[in-house]
Amino acid sequence: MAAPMLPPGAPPLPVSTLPPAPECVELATRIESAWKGKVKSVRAMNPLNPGIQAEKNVFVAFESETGAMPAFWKWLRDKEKFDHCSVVVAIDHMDRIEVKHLLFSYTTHITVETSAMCDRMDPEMPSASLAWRGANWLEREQFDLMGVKFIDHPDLRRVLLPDDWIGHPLRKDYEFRQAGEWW
Amino acid sequence: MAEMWINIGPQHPSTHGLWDLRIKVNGEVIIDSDPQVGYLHRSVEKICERKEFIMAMPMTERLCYVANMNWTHLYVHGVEKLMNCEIPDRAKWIRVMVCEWNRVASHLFWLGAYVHDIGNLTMFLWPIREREYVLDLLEYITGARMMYNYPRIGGQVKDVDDKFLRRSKVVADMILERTVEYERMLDDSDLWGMRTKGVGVIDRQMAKNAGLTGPSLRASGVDYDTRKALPYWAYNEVDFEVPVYDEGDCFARYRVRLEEIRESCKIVKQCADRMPEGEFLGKAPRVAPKTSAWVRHEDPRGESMCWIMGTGGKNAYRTKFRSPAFVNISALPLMLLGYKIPDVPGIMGSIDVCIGEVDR
Amino acid sequence: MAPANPFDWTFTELCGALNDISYHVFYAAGDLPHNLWNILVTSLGMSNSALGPGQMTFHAGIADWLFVQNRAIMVPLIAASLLLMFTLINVLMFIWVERKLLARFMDRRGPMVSGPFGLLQNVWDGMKLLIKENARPARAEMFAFFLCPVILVGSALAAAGAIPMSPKVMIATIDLDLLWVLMLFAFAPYAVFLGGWASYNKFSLIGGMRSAAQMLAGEVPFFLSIAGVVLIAGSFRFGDIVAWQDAHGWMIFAQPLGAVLFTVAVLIELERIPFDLPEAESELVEGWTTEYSGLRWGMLWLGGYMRGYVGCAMIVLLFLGGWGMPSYTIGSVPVFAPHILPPIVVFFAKTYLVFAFFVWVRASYPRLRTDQLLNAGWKRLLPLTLVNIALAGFLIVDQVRPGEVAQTPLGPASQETIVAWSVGILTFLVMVGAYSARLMPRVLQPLASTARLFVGTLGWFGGRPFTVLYPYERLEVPLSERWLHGLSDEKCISCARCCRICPDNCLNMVESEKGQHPDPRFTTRPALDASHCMFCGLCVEVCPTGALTMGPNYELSGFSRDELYWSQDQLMGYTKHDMQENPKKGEMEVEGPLDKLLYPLLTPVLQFVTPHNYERAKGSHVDANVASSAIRALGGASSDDKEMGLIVDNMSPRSRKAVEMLLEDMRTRRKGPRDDSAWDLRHQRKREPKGSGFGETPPDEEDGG
Repeated sequence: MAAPMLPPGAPPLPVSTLPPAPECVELATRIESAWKGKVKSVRAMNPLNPGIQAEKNVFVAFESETGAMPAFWKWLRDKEKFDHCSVVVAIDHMDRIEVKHLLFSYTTHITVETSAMCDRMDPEMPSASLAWRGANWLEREQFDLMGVKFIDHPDLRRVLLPDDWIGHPLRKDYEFRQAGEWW
Repeated sequence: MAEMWINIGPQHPSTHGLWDLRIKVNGEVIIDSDPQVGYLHRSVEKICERKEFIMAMPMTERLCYVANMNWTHLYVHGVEKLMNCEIPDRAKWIRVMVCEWNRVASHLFWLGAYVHDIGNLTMFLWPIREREYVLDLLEYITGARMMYNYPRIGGQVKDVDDKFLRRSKVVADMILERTVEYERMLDDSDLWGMRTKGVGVIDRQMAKNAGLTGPSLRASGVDYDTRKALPYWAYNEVDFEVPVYDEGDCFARYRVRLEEIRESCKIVKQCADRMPEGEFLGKAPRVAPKTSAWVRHEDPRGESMCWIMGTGGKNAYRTKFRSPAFVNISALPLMLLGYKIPDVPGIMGSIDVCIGEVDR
Repeated sequence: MAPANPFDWTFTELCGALNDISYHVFYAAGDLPHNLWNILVTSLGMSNSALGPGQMTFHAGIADWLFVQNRAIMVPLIAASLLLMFTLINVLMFIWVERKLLARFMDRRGPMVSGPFGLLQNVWDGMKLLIKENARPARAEMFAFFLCPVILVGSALAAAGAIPMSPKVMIATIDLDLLWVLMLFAFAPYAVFLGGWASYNKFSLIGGMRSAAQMLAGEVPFFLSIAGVVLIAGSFRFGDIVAWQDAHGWMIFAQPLGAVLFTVAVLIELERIPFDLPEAESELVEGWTTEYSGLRWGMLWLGGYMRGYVGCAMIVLLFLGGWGMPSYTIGSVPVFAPHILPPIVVFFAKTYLVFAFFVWVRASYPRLRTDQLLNAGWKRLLPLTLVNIALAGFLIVDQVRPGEVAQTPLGPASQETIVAWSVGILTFLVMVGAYSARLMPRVLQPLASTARLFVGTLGWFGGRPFTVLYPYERLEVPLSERWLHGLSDEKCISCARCCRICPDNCLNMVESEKGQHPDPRFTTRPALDASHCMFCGLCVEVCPTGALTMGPNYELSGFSRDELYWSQDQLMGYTKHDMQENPKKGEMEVEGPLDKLLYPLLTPVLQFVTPHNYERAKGSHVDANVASSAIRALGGASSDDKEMGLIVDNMSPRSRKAVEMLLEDMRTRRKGPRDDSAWDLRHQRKREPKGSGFGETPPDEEDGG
């Protein structure tokens, strides 16, 4: 299970009693020791239910201080051998936009999920496409649909919508008539 | 001849879907490339935010319409993980069986279309004919040839009966025999080798970094299959191998998919033999909590993922589908550089694109 | 001397008599085209033997002016129009052979519907092209654009004119027949390049250049591979070459290498698979013909097939004995006697067989890339043709006596010259070959794999095709198939769950005109907008009474959108019960008495079952109700519920709870008609609240936006 997003006043969430895998715990301690102060929190996640799918997750939260992220990604790729950026998700909580990058290692099968918060009016965060080419189009897609600008991205333009589209549809306040065109 | 940009598409018989592959050529040699997708964008992720889970599931069917069992089951699996709902054993085995049948159908369709692009007209119809048998089987249990609408949250909507299991074994045996025939026609053929060997090579390191997954990655030497690494349903109980080749060219990708057809037929036969008794549809909660959940699947095209975040009600707050073909297309320019225009359909076809899932 | 009464003849005399009769009949039949030609010519006053100058058969002045004084114009005109008609018919038959044969290799049927066996399909295709717009790109170079099909078809027709079909039927014959045809073949690259360039289109330009390069690479082997034939036969005339083959046996045995090389060169020239990259549709759309439409495009295709006819005819004339049938005798007993068939029939049979071989090649192989093809053409075919000429030289060397100088068509040759040239060519090639010693193994293995691919294509040939001839044959569809809905009036309780669950808002409740449910509260029934329906089956699943079902009727197209709005009447008329009772409802009529007669007769003859013919899935005969909805069978817990048929034994707990909630709801509801206008989602769709985002339709004109 990924990091729980709790809106204020929500009831508590189900907690898993299974311990995290030892590799995850070791990785979490290594991250913590190497990136102390630059990372808000590191957690090796408890697998929720192996009956549904086996998983090994480590959650790394950067909150709003995203300056260390490029270096962190490069460190993950080179030192920890995380060779694949699986997916980039941008979520529109009404007051901020959260961007998650999921990184995967083909040797240890561990998934590291880095999470960053961006300001909703002008969301910006560093790009992982310098470390992994696979993140290139994934970040373009989130820019297209959510409006998150990725700094230092080599080719940030719309990928799914036409180039002259106005607006970012996956935002919660997007209206069809806002773009000025509908089909 | 000067350098110029050429559009292969968006209307083109061999792109297999509505997308535009722009290539920059110098004479006949490709020096740059810029794929343009999005002609089939239907904002499925936004639709999933407004519909209940069960109503959004037919939308996910239309994502990759060729392998739609895999995509509907991916979505339902994600919802079940969100609700922390386990499914009965029989449902797990049924899911493995139908997803592998759909993998066989998808790879057969790919093979037919691929050899047609290279020029061999007869070999186009033979895999399509085999796929008809598979579609007949799935029509028998679900009632439709392509848009099956089969899973529900907690299991499957209908049960499979003995007739289906017996027929599955017969059809699986038949397809295993016929893959031998395809090999005989294609593998030793010099003409086939001239078009596919050494063409569209991508090496291991670049493939991993570019996010390439699935058969294309295994053809470049990386031994990774989600069904073995992070098993789900009954995949840790069936016995199958993962084909891996080192060359990274179109021929290796073709070989990986052909052998995957065989392995999937073996899985189907094992499922038919070992199908447990019991319920096929278990209890599921009505609403989903306000958390989020990821699942990863091995799609015929690569690794697909579904991330869902619930609202506490019957619909999702945000749904995200990771489409393998989307990232594979982004890795396509690396495979095209330095080759010639006539190689384009061969390379483009060998990464097996299905635009429904690319554009969502 | 045989007895007068045929009944007294012995068996030998009977056979002899039959032989005589058949000889005379077939020879006369073989003479028929010639005799018809004679009649035509004599009646029109064009024949030199029948009329002298100044003699007339017609008394009218105009006929005299046309056919006597200007016979130099009229004869060629009539000959040309006959040639055109004849070649066109031939080309149409060639295309028919290709389509049918290719289909049978692919386990399907080919054209079946227009005319018996689909023979008229190409005629209708030609008509279709006639009525299409002859579009031309605005910036195309007009003159060249128009000229390209003219050159192509013109050169092909002129070449076809030089092909003799039998010793007596030919349009024209000259001393340098063969050279004439080769020269006309060579016009095509020019036409192709012109067409590709004139279209003002990148794809066409590239395709045209590729095509021209490919054809040029094929031209030289094309000419050189028949140099051997010319040397051996001693003449460029087709008639002489066929006469030589009549005397000495087919040329293919004297020049096997030459025959193979010539066939490959013809395939390259005709741009057939495996050499059809310039026009391959998966490469650059249509290649150099992209901008051509309508009959102009038809002309290009026609020109291609005419050249195909000429190519096949040349192979037959040069290597396969032309119009002669091989005659073999054992002792003095003719085992396979000549003159059984008229020569013109023999000629065409051979030409069509050669073309069938080309179609077999097309079905078997993928295509070569252009650079691979050029490689093959210049580096492999060309040296082999030179080897072939050397071998031919060896064969004819004993026709020239030592010391004499013979006049061959290629110039004077003495024995010493021939030997010297042959030895020189061979030595040169051996030296070249020694450098590329890896050539030898690379020749044999590809041959083996190529042969295997070729023979493997035959695997499904002759069996029952996998396809069904819709709409005359239909596949059986299982009854659980999810297609058009059916509604059972007695069971519907107007709960509108189907309307609520539909992902696409296809169903809405309307007042029923003939509510047959015993309870007067349930007066509304769902109506379906089938134009939006995606047949997901959720509405059927959710229906608590099983009133809404989905049946196997998939033939839903109509001529207007209104036909796709299925109201209560239509839904009730198409329930499963009706489909079971009347399975032919809605089937299309088989048209025409000939079709009705022919297809039942011919189907079992033409198609026989192979052991691989797996039975398609027959209907499961499982009621969709049973499979997918909550109600398994009528039967229930309490008496009045049982009467309503709502609660049954083997319901799933979820459905049972749903129905119990519904019953509770019904018991506490007020009596009286319900107001279901809130469920009329179809009419409300245009008034969705702003910001909901989905289902938004364009603003109405009347609304003002």
